[in-house]
Amino acid sequence: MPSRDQDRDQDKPAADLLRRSLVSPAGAPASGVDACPDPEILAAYSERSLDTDETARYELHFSQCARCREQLAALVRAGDSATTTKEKRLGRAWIWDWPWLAWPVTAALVLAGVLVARRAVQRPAEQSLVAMNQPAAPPAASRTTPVARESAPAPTAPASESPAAASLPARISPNLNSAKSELAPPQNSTALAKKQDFQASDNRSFDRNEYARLEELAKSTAGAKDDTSARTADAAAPAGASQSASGTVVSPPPPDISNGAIGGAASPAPKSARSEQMSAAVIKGRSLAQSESVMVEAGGAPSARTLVRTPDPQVLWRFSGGRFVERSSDAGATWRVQWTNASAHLVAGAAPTADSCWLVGHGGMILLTTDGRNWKTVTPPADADFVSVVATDASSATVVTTDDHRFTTSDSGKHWTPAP
Amino acid sequence: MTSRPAQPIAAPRTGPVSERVAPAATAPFPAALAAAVERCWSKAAAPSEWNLTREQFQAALERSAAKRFPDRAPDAKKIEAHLDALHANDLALACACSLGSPAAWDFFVAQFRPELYRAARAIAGYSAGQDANARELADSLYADLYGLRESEGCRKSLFDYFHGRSKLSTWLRAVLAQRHVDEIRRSRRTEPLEDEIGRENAEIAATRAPSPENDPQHDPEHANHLAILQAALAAALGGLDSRDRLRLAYYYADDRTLAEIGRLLGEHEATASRKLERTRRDIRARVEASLRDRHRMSEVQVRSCLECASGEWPFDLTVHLRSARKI
Repeated sequence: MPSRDQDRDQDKPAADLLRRSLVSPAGAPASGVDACPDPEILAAYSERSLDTDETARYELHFSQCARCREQLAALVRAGDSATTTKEKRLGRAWIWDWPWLAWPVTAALVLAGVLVARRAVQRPAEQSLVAMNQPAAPPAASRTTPVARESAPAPTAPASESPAAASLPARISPNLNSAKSELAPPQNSTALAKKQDFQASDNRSFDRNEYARLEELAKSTAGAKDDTSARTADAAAPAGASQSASGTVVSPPPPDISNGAIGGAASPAPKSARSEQMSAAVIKGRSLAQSESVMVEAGGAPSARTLVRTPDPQVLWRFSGGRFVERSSDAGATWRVQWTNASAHLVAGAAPTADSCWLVGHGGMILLTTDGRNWKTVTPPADADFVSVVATDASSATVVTTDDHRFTTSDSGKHWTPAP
Repeated sequence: MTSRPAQPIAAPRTGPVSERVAPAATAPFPAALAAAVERCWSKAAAPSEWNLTREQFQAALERSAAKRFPDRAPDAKKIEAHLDALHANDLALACACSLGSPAAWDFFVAQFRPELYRAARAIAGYSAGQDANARELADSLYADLYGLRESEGCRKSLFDYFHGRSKLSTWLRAVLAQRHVDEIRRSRRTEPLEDEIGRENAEIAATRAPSPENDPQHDPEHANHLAILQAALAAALGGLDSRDRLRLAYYYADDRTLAEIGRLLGEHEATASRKLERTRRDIRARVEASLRDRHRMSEVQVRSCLECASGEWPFDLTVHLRSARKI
């Protein structure tokens, strides 16, 4: 029997009788009692905001229900941690030893607190989950805009070239016309710094255009749910497509698993016979693909996710959107949600090991985890939309933009260099 | 709460794959409650960038009242008192997040995320091995609040279950606590209960080694006394008020310290100790009165009866804390 602190039982026989009578098996379900109240009642009870009748009724239930009592104890523990944190911040321990100091010190503390709070509003908030890298100087060649790319004439093809191949430049940068206004990068370097501040600060103001852009992209992604194979092919094409001397487009080779996944979905491309052939070729070649779009059942309704495989067949990642990534360590039987704090739309991933994973997306978004759990935002080489990533380990990766610019890092994104 | 963003920016809804829908509507308020609704709306002070309309907020108030008074039609005064006691600003935030406002969601994350992780660590235990569990506990809650899971083609957010009766932060901690406890209890059920009961009974029996005087073979009245004592004690426990019963349950059934009980019941440790002692005294007095009056025992017999329990005591009277009988 555990010892009891400050147990002042004077009536030993009665205390002993009660102690013996009221020991109940741990974990035994409470039977014959009313249904347990929901968390809002538990919360209101712990705040003492229930009325008298409710308090008596629920206390009767709590006295009969070990489960509710355990929840209340856990709730008190969580509340105590918040109180302890506040107490540490205020430094109450010594002030009250000298009561005559109480009022002047309290007034001084309040004044200091107001001044500190006002200064803190202007400072980027500390992020416990997201480690920010120092912004790297963007490479000189990174500022090719989609507008410039789009206006470049299509490459002149020999007469023997199949007509569909002439559409290849448009396919490499799909939907440029519709995406131009949304994907145009900022025209000067201060915009990148502003975006980094935006991502870093918890007190950031919101860019209406940014959210409108994300909303449009999300809608177009939802509308192209049936075209997942085409999107997969489109993303693969920039990474591996090449033209032979005759102008025939060569399908990219099947991806090497040891190097991590190739890119996932980019913006949906207009369907054409040639694009469907590319899709089929790429899909066949990607039988061992690590990043692919899948439909999963979630709450009874199918929804799109991007799946990222790792060298360990038991370990998988998947995501839809940006804020959450899910990881499975049992080949997809169960999934655990992880918070990434990514505000952009993620489109591709590569997992060179079971514990490391690179994710890329629109708006310069690059995320990295090296322990399989905690995610950090990596400073991008350019404020562009990334459509694919290839990684050999947690330090080395190559990312590709929508306009087929590639950047490589060997130090987990601290520095990037343009890749051929 | 810190100040809310002031820029009037219209943020679009999230949830591209499926639409977020508000919970089912309940009976609308009568006109007599218009002033109370207006007061709540003013208290809520929802920023315009959350895109929360007054009608949507009123619908949330109506759901809150329906939850509070489910079985009967209360008068307007009771509903008004209920509305005035709500945490309107937290309810507005939860409502806006449930409806998919990105601005509201980002405000929620900025304000509550650190506290939520701290609470999860406190609940799950803050050690090297438990930090991962705490993180997973908090992340899983975030996913449900965000509406990551879908039901019938629509995203449902856990925010739909918050009705403003408590602070949002307390409610979040309560949800974390519930999930953690249910997970612990699920894992406990994999262990055979018989072993646990046997271990506890062995511990109890070890505190009082049977002596020849208590050996039932030597005392033919022993079994009879135990049965009488059991009935008297059960009746005494059934006659306690709910708070005293809860205090007893914390102390004897859950083995909590007086300091913990004080925190749980919102009273000082010394108060918990004093009330516990008074409850024990009351129980003893009731038991003795029952033995004397109902069973016509003398003082010597009453003492002898109580001493029977110091030996073998095979009864689990926790079931009698569930009884609502009053003497």
